[in-house]
Parts: sequence; C-alpha cells; structure tokens
Amino acid sequence: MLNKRIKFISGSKFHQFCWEFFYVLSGALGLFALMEIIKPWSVVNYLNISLVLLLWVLDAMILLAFREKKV
Amino acid sequence: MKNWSWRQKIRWSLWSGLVLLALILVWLALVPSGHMTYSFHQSGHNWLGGKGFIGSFTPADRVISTSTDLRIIGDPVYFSLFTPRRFESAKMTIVYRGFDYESYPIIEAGVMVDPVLRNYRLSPVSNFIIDRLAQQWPSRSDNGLLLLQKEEKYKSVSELLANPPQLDELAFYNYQHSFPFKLEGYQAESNIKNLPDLRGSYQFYSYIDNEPLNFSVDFLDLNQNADQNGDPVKIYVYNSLSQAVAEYDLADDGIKEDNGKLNPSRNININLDNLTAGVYKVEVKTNDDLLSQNIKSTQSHLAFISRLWLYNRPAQSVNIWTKGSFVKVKAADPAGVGVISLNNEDFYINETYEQYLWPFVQSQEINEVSLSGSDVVVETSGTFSFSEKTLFNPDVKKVDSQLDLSRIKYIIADYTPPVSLGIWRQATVEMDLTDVYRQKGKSNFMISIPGLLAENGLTGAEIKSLRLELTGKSLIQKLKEYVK
Repeated sequence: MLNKRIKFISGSKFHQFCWEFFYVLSGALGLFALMEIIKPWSVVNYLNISLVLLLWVLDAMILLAFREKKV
Repeated sequence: MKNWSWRQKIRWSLWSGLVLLALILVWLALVPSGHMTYSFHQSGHNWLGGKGFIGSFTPADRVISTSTDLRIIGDPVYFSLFTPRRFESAKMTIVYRGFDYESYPIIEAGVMVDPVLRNYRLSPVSNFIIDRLAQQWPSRSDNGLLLLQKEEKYKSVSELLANPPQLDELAFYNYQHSFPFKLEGYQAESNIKNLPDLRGSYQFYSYIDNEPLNFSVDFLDLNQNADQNGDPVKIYVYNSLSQAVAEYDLADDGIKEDNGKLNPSRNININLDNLTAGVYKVEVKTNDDLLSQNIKSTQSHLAFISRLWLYNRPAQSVNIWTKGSFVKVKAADPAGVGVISLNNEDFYINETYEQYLWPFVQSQEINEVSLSGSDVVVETSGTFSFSEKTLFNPDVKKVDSQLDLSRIKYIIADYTPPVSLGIWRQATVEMDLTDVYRQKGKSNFMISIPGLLAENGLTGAEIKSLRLELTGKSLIQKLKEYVK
C-alpha cells in the first residue's frame, strides 16, 4: 500500500512542486536572514520566519519520504 | 514561455513571488513615501504571525486583555511602537469607551521625550469635564483654542490674556501661558535653610527679588540600579518666560554597576546674580539612583512641583504643605510603610509599591502632610513646600478631576472633543515626534487615566482600536538633503 503511494507521488507534479518549493523556501530563508542582518525587524515584524522554517522542514520530510528509488 | 515545461512555470512563479515579497518588505522597511500607518485591533488576526509594530500594553496588572477586550484598570499604561525609520509627526486615532466618566473624566495619550525623567508629552484624548461644561457654559472657538466662560465677558482668548481675571478664577487645559507673578510683601532673606534629602528628579519654583538665586546640593550615587549610561545629573534654571538662564552638569560617579558601593557625594552650587525679580524654575534631571543631600538655599520661597521622593532618615518626620486637594503616595521601600497624616488625620501605607490616593477630607486653603516613614513618593496637583508660610504656586490651575469648579469662571483649552460612534468614541491626537526618545527603533507611548488605581479593580476605559498615522520625510527629500 505504502509502496503504491510512494510510486504514485514519486515523479508526480506534486513531487516536482515540492522540489521547486523546497528550493524557493531555502532561498527565502537565506534572503530573510540576510535582510534581518542588514535591517533588523524588517521581516519578523511582518512574517514569522519560524513558519517558513516549519514549511521548509515539512517539505524536506515529504521529499525524503517520497524520494525516487534509483534502479 | 510557451515551450516551458510545467516545472519551469512553477519555478518561475515561485521565485517571482519571493522576489516580489522581498521588494515589498524592502519598500516597507524604507518607507520611501514618508507615510506609514500602523494599527492595533484587540480582536484582529495576525495570519502571518509577525511580531507587529505596536507592542503589548504594560504593566500587565493595569490591563485586562482578552481575545476581544482590552480594558485599562490602572494608570498609566504603556506600549511601544517600532518604526523602521524616524518620523516627524503622528496622528493617533483611538476608538474607546469609558466606564465612569464622572470618576475618571480625563484620558490622555502621549509619547516619551525624556528617558531619564521618564517624561511623556501628553495630549488630550478626552476630558469629560470640558465636554460637560461646553454644553452648560457659553463657549467660543478661537484659533483652535476653546474658551469657556461661566458668564460671558471676553470675546477672545487674546482679550482674556491681555486683561486676565483673578488667577483663581481661571483654569487651563493643555495650554500654557505665564502671567507676570509678584509676591506681595516679599522680603529677601540671607539665612541658609536646610531641606530634607530627596531622591531622583525634582523641579521647584523659586521666587527672587533683589537677591541672588542660591541653591546647593550634594549628590550621592546609591548605585542600586545598573544603567549603561551611568547616573548623570543635569540642572536647568529657567526664567518666567521658560528661557534657560543656566545649566549645570555632573557626570556619573564612575560606578555603573548595581553593587551598592558608595563614592563620596559631589556638590553642585548654583549662585546666580543680577537676575530680574520674579519666578525661576529649577529642574534637577537625574534618575532614581541619585540622592540629593544637604540641600541648602537662602531662598525663603521654594515650591516643589507636583512630585517629591522624600528620603528622610527613619524616625525623622517631615512636614510638607500643599494647596492641592489630594495626595498620591507610594512607599518605595519597606521603611516607607506606616502612618501618614493629612491635616492631622491618620492614613496607613500598608504595602510597598502600592499607590494610595487620598483626598484631603477636611480640605483647607493650605493642607498639611506629615510623614514619618522613609523613602516615600508623594504627588499632588500643584506645589509642595517645606514651610506653610512660603508656599506659592505661579501656575494657572489645570482642569483635572480634582479641580474645584466652584471658583472657576474661565477655562482656556487646546482641546477637540471626541466624536461619538454609538457606545464608542473616537478621538484623534496629533503628536510631534521630532524630539521623542527612540531606542532600537522603538518609541514609547503612554495612555493615562488619572486617578485610576489597579488596586480598585475598576475599568477606566476599553480600547477597541488604535491607529497611528506617521508622517516624515520622503526618500527623495532625504536624498536631496544628503546631496546638499
């Protein structure tokens, strides 16, 4: 059952989206950290960076759980 | 774009979104237009989880904060505002409702201008006394000022100022004007008077006529509070036109820690000759770590303004006199707990750091306060003196909850009444931010409801929303100034 689900998700559009979302979230975390160093409170006053980090971790977990198996 | 794969389109969309978000954040951080609005709604939602710009209302024991209500139960309450850059003015729009306008008729809001004295420049939100009198007495609006007269006599504020009534018939609100002040029958003295020890900041009026202005004080740094800036002292002397005529400085004693070590006290001696006769105001600006000892002056008439922190030694009683109709008392140390006598009637300070507000039950022309405890902060409306005969107050009375209206015939107020929104009221307060104290991007604001004590558990006002519209220089204006 789990193998079927992994097969279904692996390589799907959702999987591809997760990969792209992961890259963007990584970039966002780096960018927000840089902005906070340059101008403190410029991001955290509007946005909870912990939420971005949580999304990034969840996305990474999905990618790790449903990674494509190399034959 | 047509040949892009689904994955490339997603990639482009997500990265574009991030760049757009970053640009918006940069715009909000720079505020290039010079205009920005920050809002607070007690029942509002913060979907993105940001820290926001308006901080919590403190101290916690003076507010009741639920998901829908923000009630003020003690005076004053504070909040901070973070701004990414400096602004020059603010328009605060506050939607509120009072619960007992008769007992707590005044609500004021302001911003901190002096971190040492913890001075806030307050502006009126609502004054129920004036609102009520405006419906009962004839009123005139004159260049943004409100003139209320029990019996119509003056056609304008300028006419009243040019030909003033007796000062005890006049009251001001949010307005200042100095009338020439003369103490009839005043005789200069040359003998030195010793005053009790005082802690922290204080201000007093001194009347001089054909004599030097003389005041000597030893400052002892108690080193009980750690302060990065140390504990400096500044003394300003102002004439009756509020012009500074002298300034004195004393640096920190060299110990910035709170280790309680005592260095020898250091003296400031003020001796100003050839001053024209009249009232002078001396402002001693320091923090609560400084003790003023051996206060000596040849002036017979010294009237301390509004607040005194008496630091008399235990078992040494101090008598002070005031024309104020109440005293607000707080023991800053267990040594201050005990009996306080108001016109020979005993009251008890039971707890340290608890505010007690007592009106003089048998109020007289001049009321006497007798204290035996040490380390007690005493406040009133008006002035205090250490001698009954030398008490004076050159200030015009202020319209506050303790004002005796029976003798007042004229009121000048710089005040706009709030707008009614059903059960809620909306008031707008204009604030000048050019000289406000700002640390790490934060300015401190205060909402004051005089007389409201948290110990009583009564609600003074409920705040529905708060909006701060800030205006400053635009980025283009800043660049032009930089280029010049």
